[in-house]
Amino acid sequence: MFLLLAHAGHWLVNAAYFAPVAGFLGWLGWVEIRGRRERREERRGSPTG
Amino acid sequence: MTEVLPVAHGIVGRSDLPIPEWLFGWAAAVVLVVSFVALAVLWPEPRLSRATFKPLPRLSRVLLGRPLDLLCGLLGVALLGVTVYAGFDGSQTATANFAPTFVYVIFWLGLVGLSVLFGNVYRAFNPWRALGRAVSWVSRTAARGPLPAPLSYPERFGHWPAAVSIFLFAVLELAASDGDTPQTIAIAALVYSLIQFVGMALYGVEEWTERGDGFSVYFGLFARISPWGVRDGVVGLRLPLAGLADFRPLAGTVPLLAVTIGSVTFDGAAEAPIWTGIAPDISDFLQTLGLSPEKALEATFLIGLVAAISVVYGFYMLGVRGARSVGGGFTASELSRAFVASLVPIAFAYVAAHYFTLLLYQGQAILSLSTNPFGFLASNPLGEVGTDIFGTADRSIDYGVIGATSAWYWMVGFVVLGHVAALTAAHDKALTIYSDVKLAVRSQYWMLAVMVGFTSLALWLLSQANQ
Repeated sequence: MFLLLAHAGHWLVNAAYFAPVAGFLGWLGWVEIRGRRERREERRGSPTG
Repeated sequence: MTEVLPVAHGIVGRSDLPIPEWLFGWAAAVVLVVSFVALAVLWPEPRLSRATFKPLPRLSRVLLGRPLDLLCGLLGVALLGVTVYAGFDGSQTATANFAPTFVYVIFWLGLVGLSVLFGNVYRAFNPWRALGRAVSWVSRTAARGPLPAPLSYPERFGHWPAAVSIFLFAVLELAASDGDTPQTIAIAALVYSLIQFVGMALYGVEEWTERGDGFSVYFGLFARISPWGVRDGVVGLRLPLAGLADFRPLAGTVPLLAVTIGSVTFDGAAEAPIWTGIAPDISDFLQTLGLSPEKALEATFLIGLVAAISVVYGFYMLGVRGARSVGGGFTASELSRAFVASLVPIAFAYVAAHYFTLLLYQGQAILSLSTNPFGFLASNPLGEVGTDIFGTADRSIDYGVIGATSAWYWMVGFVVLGHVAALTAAHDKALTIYSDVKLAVRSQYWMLAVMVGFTSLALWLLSQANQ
C-alpha cells in the first residue's frame, strides 16, 4: 500500500488521461440502467406486458 | 524493435506547454463531445453516401493514361529493385543503408500521408501490380490469344490475406530483433514478392491487388479519406471521407484495422514504464521455457504486439455491442462491418501523430541515402565504393525543422482531427442503416465512447515518448 502511495504521482497522471473515458462509460452505464428501469416499469404498467 | 531512428518518437523538452499533457486529453474529449452534439443537430441526413462526384475527364486522361501508368510502375519496380539490391549488397548498418529508411519511413509512412491527400497514388507505383501486368501482357502476346481465366477469389478470404500481411510486417518492424537489418528487409521483400506473384497468378492481377495485396489494401483504405477518387474509370473530386461511405467491408477488414491501430499502439506503449517494467519478467519466464535470450525477447515483443491488437479489437467490439443494445435488429457482426470504415481516420490519426517526427527527421535522410544507397563511404578499408549519384551525399538531417512544442501541437491536432472525422463517418453511416434518426444518434453514444477512448489512448501513447 505504501509503495502504491509512494508512486501515486505516476499512476495518477496516467489515469488522468483515461478519466474522460471512464466518465463517459460511467454515464453510458447509467443511461442503460435507467432505460432498463423505465422499460421494466412500462411492462408492469401495461396490462398486456 | 526497429532502432532505425533514435528520434523516432522522441520529442524532448515539452516543458513549455501551457497546460499539462493529460489536460490536452480532456480538451480533446470535450471537442469530440461538442462535435457529437453538432452532428446530432446539424447532420440529420446522410451526406457522405449521397455526396456528388465531380469527374475531371481531362485530368483523368493524363493521370490514368498508359504513359504515366507505365512510368510510375517502372519507378515502383526500380525502387523495389534498389531496396533488395542495397539490402543484400550494401552496408548492414541500418542508418547507412537505403533499404530500412525507404521501407519503414518513406514507403510505410510517407505513402499514408500521400494517400490521404491525393487518393490511391500507390496503385500506380505498386511494383507487384506492375510486374504482374507486365507478365500478363507478355503471356498474352506469346500465347497470341486469351489466357485461361483465373480462379474466382473466394469470398471467405476477404481481406484476411491483407490483414495477415500487415500483421507480419508489424512483427518484422516491432518484434524481430533484426527487423531493421538491410538484408532482412531484402529477404522479406522477396518473400512478399513471391506471395504476390502466386496470388496474382491464381486469382488475377487486379482481383488479388484489390483484396489480397496487404499494402495495396492498406494504402487504399487511407485513400478513401481523400477528396480525390476514381469512379467508373474517371478521376474526380468528392467530399473528404465520402470514399469511406461506399466502402464495402469484407471478412478480415476489422482485424486489418485492429492490426493497423494496434501496431502503432504497441510501438508507443513499448516506451511506457508499464511495458519496460514487465517485459524483462516475461522474457525471463520465456527463457525458463528454453528460449534463447534473443528469441525470448522477440517472443515477448510479439506477445505485447498481439495484446495491443487484441485490446484495440476488443474495445471496438465493446462499442459495437453497446450500439447493438440500443435496438435496430442488427447483429454484432453486421454492426462491426457497418462501422469499420470509421476506424480508418482513427488509424490515420494514430499513424500521423505517432510517426510525425520520424517522417520529418529521418525522412530527410532519404536525400543522402538515395544518392549512396549501399551506404559505403567513399574511402573504405574493405574496398567497397561509395556513390554520390545525385550529389546529395553531404546532406544531413536538420533537426531544427520543427520545435518540440510545435510538434506536440501538430500531433494533438492529428489526433483530434482524425477522431472527429471518425465520428463524422460513423454518424453518417448510422443514418443510412437505422430507419429512425433518434436510434441512429443513440447508437452513436457508444461509438463516441470508442472515439474518446482511442483519443485518450493516442495522447497517452504520445506522452510516453517523453518518459
